[in-house]
Amino acid sequence: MRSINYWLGLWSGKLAIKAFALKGNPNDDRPGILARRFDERFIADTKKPEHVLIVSGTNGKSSITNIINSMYRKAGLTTACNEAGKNTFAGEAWTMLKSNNIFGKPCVDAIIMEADELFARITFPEIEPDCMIITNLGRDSMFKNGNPEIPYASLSEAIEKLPDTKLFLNADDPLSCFLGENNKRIYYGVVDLGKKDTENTNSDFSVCPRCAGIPVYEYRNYRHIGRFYCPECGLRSPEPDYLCTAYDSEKMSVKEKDEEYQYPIISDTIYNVYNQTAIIAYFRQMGYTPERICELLEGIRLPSIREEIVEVNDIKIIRRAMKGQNAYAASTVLEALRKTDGEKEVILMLDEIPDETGMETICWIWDTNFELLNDPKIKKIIIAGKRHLDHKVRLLYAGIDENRMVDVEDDQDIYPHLIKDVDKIFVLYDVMALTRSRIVTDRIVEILKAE
Amino acid sequence: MVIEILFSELGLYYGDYGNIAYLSKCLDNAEFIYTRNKDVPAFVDRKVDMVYLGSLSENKQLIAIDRLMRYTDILKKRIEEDVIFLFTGNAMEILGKYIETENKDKIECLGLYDFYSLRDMNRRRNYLFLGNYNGLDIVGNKSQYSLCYGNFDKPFIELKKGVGNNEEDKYEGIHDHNLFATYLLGPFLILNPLFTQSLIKMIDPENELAYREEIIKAYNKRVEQMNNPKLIYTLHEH
Repeated sequence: MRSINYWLGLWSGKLAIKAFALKGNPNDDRPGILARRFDERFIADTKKPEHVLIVSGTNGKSSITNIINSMYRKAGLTTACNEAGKNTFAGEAWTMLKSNNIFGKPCVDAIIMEADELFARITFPEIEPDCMIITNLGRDSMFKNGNPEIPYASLSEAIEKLPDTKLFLNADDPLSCFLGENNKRIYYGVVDLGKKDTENTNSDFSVCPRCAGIPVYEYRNYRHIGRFYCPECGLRSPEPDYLCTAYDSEKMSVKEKDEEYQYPIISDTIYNVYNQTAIIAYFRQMGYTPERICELLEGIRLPSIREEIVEVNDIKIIRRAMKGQNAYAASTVLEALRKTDGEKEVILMLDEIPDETGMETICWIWDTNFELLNDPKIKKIIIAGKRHLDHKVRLLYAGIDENRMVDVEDDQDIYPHLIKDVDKIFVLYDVMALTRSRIVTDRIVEILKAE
Repeated sequence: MVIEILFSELGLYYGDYGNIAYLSKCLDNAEFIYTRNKDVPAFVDRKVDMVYLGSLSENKQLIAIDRLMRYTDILKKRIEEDVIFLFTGNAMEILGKYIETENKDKIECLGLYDFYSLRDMNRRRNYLFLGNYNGLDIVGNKSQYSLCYGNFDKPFIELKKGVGNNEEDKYEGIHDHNLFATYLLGPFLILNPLFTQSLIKMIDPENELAYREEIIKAYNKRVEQMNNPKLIYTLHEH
């Protein structure tokens, strides 16, 4: 029997959702805060629908959550989902509010929940997922996450309390693949793509987690993601149940047992290939046929907050999120950019803090592999924002010719430095600089159209 | 010139890699030795000019303590011989007597200095920092689960803004002979090029800063911003 506090939380939270929607903020998660203020265990006290999926890990969880949510809706299921990425207590409680009616009964078929790995030990057992996808672990914001062992410990503690949850783990992520030894584990991975390896200046996986020996990679697809073994104690990567064996810009092949199926691809950047392999593994385990998954994938796009591509005069302008303060995510984006064909121009807008009450720390830029921008195919780099001088030092250390870079504090000063004889212009932005990046991208489009 | 980097495979989190990266550009002719955790440190049986140990995860800090414990006496001797040591982030804790965890467990450390650390893994403290060392502005930031307490009779940096060894202490870190230990983490040597200049000239007066013009410009701007009275020094806790 649920307490009066639960009902007060439910009803006030639902009213608040309606009020915020009327104000034009339908994704505001403050109703979740309100519900938890009445009932601290509101998430646990909420009756769950038949399917509850948690998507967690350092990077990729927003993309996977949004794509699965879109696929479920396309399949005719109703869902509650924090698709706007509000993934801590408030956002999780908000999703629970959306999942139940005013009588406290589930009003959706499934909850698709992006959930922050750092708070896993507290919230995951309350969410009671039947399935959980872990994308990967890597160094994230030091202020919030410390080092990758901190979220690992939190996830590990949460999973111990969830023995019946089916885990979907990245077989190629040495930092998360050993989670949940008592759970049913489904592994996904990507074969050795034989792509030219890029130097990893500062790896998140440099010692064996069992014996502190030095691990050896059989192959590495990006960052620390790849198959390893430890010559000292024999620990090695698990075998994937769902293995992406090949992909191009149109399709990808995924092998399971002795069968191989082709699927339309959403994005051919390597980290998105891992994300999509996880999605396919999940839907296959939920009983969907490969044919049906293909139907559901048709027309699905990445969330526009992450990536937007516009083409003008045969130049592609690619606006892509590159989380500042998160060296793993940032390096992954740079690695994908490096592996992109054509001559490029890169605009970096990576500052998080816009005003004088805050000071951007630059620790993360020394963990980020900016050496990947030292490429003759990158004709120009424009650094914009308050920390432009610090970024310039970092790029000089990366060996980038000073004549190929410009640093400006004010975004307005970007445009006179644009070069237009490239195939692609990348606008890489921190998520806090989303609006800035849109303004700059729109202005670049205008300039190119006026040519 | 011989620079020894201790146990880089155990961590170098939070941008500490920048210190090595920058030193390697400033000290073109230096030999850099990367000592793995299962190897005998070079400072034990050969002459080195500088030893660096950066931030570690809490689990890997235990490995580093275990590996260094057997060399405590020789470490003390090298400090007295004026070898340069730089410890950044929670590497500093290793030099103290012990670390007490939130569960009241005590982790014995090298005991070279008379202080201890209190760690609470449920509270990550984040601060900006502005201080003074030998008339130089020292800037940086801290991100840590611990604070240090005890007898800091050989302080490194005088606090101007932010938090020192603990919330009451007016000093940050240890400076003994040529040992510099500080909880300031990340690219400390890049953030503080004037300090770095004094450090590399201790190794060889001919040494010069790399990217001198750009790095001093970035430093001056940072110092100016850090002196802004509107700047908030205590950042969000998690």
